[in-house]
Amino acid sequence: MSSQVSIRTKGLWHTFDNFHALRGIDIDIGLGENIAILGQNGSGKTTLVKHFNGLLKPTRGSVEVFDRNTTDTSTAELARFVGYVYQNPDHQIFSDTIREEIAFGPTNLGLPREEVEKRVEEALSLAGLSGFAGSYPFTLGKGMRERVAVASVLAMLPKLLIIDEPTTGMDYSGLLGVLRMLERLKDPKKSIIIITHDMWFAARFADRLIIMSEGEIIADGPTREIFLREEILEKAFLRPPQPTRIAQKLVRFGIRPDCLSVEELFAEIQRLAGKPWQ
Amino acid sequence: MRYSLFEPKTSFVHSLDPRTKLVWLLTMFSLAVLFVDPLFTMTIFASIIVVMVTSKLSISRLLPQLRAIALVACMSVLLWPIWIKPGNVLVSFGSLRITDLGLFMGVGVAFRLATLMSVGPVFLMTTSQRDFIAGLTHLKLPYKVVFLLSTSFRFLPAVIGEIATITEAQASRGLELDKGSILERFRKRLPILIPTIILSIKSSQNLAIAIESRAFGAYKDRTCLSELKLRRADCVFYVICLSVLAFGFWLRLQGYGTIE
Repeated sequence: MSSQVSIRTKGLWHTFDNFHALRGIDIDIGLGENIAILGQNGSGKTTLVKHFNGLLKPTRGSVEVFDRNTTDTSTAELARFVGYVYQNPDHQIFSDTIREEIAFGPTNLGLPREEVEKRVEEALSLAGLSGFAGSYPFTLGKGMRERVAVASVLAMLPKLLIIDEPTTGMDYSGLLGVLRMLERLKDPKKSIIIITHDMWFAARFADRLIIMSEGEIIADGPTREIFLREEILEKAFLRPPQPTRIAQKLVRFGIRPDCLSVEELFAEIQRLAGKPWQ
Repeated sequence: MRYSLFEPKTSFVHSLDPRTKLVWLLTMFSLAVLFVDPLFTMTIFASIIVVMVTSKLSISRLLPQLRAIALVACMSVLLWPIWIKPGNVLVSFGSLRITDLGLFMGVGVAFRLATLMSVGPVFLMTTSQRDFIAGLTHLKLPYKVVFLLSTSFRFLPAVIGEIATITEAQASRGLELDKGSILERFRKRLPILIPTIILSIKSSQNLAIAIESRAFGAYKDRTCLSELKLRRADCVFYVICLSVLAFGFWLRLQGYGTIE
């Protein structure tokens, strides 16, 4: 049973100086879950996920990652299971070529050369970077650099992948590139957690949403259900994506209020248009 | 993350003109270099402690500085007696002789270093960046030089913050800094060093654009938002500093305060 759980926190508190960044977080994250964590700046999202690879240790309570207590496990050790992609890819890219950049993580794990090379190739194709292995990473666009950062963590074959704001400052094509890559990464034996402010992106990617506000989880559940809970979203200063909001306004015409995309909403309208209006 | 050492408080030291504090800083530096005799260097350091107390600086902010000072001072007290051979032997272990002169030297230099290390932080903690810039500008330093100085103070903590983030990012990729030989450890710093340099270059380019778009260097003479005026307290402080400095030179020329 425990093998189905990747992360389990119990009464997790984290305090910086006198500021309580996390106030009693209890969550279980299962294998195969694709989660988006939403919330205002300063609501504790990044602080929470930094506990998942041991960068931060609980002030109170406990965090178990694949049945290991993070308090007595180092970040380098947890890096074998947990991949963490930082908000800004420029905080980690340092190599002359994308290939070398991606090889850094698996080499740190002490893997033999052939295995490293194999993983680099896999990560390159998963991230949609196959033609760019020899490119110089610094001259690429933001969306590509983000994918390099993700690929460099993927090559470590983490069972849990955490990505902090994968879409900030990206144009639509960069956004789609990241989304397509994440879709390819979905795996019933692995978990993915993203932190984002982009409701459209969360709706498209995640099947479970966790909403944070002032260091607490104020909502946690399936994406469709959470986007219906207006009063809670408002508390975190969030709004559902536009198709969902339109659908909610059209409920009285018989449209499902939990449409997540333009396509879903369109299908609903089409379904109704087949019938006479009342 | 803190971006400046300055601690806003209302105290006599805070209210002094930045130029006065610069004179104080130079006086303390010169005095510390002039003397080695522990009695003298201790007195000089004690005067800095008095300034620290009057400026109401919080202990928690001073603690990192004080800790570093204590470390260096201890090293001085421990190491000087090993090298200084002349004098009356106090203790001896085999070939190692600890003499009174050596110990004297160690303690003297310890307080000299403590002075040199504490004056700067006290100045920066009691002077806002705006006052610091205004002070240097009023001393007729070219504004570009002033700007260079003040931005390096301003950006140092930011860069330290970046380094912390980069270190965490690379640790998440399995980098273990404290394992391996010295050469290996040095090589392991590269994944941290390179992103730091690149980010610093990027941010200095951004800064250049930002200040140019706000007319940096449009006029040769720069005016200040807060015009500085020397007050009576400043003049008194000036006179005290300069007389103490003159007295110090005189004492030194008379042969006081050194160790033969």
